[in-house]
Amino acid sequence: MSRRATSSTSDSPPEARPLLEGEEARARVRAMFDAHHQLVWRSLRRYGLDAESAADVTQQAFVVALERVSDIWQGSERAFLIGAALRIARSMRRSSARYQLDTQLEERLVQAGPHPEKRASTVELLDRVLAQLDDGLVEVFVLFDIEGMSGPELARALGIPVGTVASRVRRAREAFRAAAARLELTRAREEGR
Amino acid sequence: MRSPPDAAWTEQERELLAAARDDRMPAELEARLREALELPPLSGGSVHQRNRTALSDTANAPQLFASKLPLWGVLSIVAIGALGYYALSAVGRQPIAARDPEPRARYEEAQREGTARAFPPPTHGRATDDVTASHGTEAQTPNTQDALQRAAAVTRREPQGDELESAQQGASKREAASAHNVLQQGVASAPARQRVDASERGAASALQQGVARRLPARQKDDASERGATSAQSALQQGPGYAQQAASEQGAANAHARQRVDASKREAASALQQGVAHRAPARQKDDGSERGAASAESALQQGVASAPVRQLVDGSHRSVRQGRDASAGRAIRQGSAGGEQSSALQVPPLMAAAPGPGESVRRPDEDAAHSATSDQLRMEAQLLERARSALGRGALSEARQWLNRYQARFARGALHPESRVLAIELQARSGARTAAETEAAHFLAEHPDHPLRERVQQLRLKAAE
Repeated sequence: MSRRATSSTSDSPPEARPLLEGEEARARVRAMFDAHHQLVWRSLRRYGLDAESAADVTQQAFVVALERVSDIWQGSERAFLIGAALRIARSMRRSSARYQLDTQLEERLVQAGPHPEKRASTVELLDRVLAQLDDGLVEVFVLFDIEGMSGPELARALGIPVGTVASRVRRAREAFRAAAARLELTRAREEGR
Repeated sequence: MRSPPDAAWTEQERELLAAARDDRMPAELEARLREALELPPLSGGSVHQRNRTALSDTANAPQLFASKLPLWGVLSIVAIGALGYYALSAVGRQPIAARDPEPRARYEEAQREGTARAFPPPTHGRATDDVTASHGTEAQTPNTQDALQRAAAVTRREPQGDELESAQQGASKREAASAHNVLQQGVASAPARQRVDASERGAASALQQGVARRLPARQKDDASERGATSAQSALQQGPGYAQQAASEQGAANAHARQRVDASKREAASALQQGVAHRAPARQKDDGSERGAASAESALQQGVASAPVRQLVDGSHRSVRQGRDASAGRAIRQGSAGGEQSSALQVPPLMAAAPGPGESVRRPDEDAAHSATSDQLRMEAQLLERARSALGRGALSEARQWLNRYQARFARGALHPESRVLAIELQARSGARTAAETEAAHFLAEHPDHPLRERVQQLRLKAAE
């Protein structure tokens, strides 16, 4: 599979970024919202937040973007949003009981019955698989293999070296396959009963 | 780093990944989010109070201003009241002589008869009413305006023999002797004393007594016409102004001709601006406020005319250095010299005038103060960006923000803070020796700065 679309990254000096204020800043954030809000929310969901909490954190990420719009380099909007959202999610998960992990996944899967709506059930199965991975591995797996971010972009979003991203992607894939295989085995056993 | 080919994924894995990519935020949540993030401001859909605050801060400035209208009204009333009180108190500070109708009546009568002199007769042997009213506070009272107009009219006139004679025989005679004595007693070798003398009372007292403002201009013209070349003749013709000019400019070893020329240029410039009586006073204030040592250095560099701008620039450097030894020495010497030249009688108002070390808040400084608030905000913004970049480890970006700050605000109010950031940047960039040296300089120059501990830590870290 060829590498999925990667966003262009720029290492231009800060002089290239004019200070944005007022309506100009809002227009840029609005464009960023239209382009990336689904990705941010989706990534937060895969990270383990429930739908409401993921929406809250998404909103906060865009508020941060509005406050610091002049600091966002052209082409790095997605990395900025993801980085901000993950930082907020981590801090919220540590400090607030309001932001709970989607711990009721097993119960909801049971309540969905043997024939739940297919796409929803598949997503929830995916969440079950990802729930077995470490947080650091989930981040790189979701952003790299699902959302198609490039290694350098992911490194900038997570604040880690590119080499670390590569090693985490490798380990995340191994862990994901192992978890998926276990889940498949479990489902086969359940269907065989 | 490449993703494995699709074949590497099993059917189940591909299904899971495809489902994840197709996952969408529920429509209800998306609608709420769009509403909450609608720009401009949030309309109740916010989930967190922080979001509401952040957006409203940037979008609701007009509403914020409108909500504070009563406060603005009260502040306006207070400001108007303070202004009125200040104006009334300025009138009340005029000496009785200035409000005494008799000298005025005599003078106006003389004017009608055509025998009035170029300047009003001194009342009680002291300052005239208009000069007193235009004391260094720069209050623009009607008397002051009137005096300005009359002064401008008078100084444009050709000098007359009786005017010069009366001036020499009048109040200026005593100043001529005292100024001459001061200059002869070593003013040439002690420019600082001259300068501080001017700051304290010399030039201003001459102005107060109504001599330096009119007489020097005419005498200057007269002197230039006659080709006066000696300091003695210049002093005899315009002692008050000559002393003022010599003192302000600190031209210790300047030739008398240079002093006369400098006085001529300065007086001509001031007259063109219609503020002949104000310019010397302002220069005096500048000098006394910001430390006279800079004037000495500026004038030693050959700036004979001593423009006010150079005075201010030089003084600013002196203030920044703060503990400049020469400044302290100059002030001390100036105080001593001032005592020696006490032959110049200081009017009561001048006695209450601020000394060299006192701060005077002039009206034009209020406007400057409000203008500097924007500058301070810009300084803080640039430094915050540098600090943020430093925190992220983006050293090159931090360096560029700091360079931009240095380029725009080389003498900014937050200059010490920018130096601390530069030290930290150097330390983190590996330039430990430079960081240590700069930290040592910073600690020496700012022993009481709030960031001293931080700089000490950086210095120790760099020394490891």
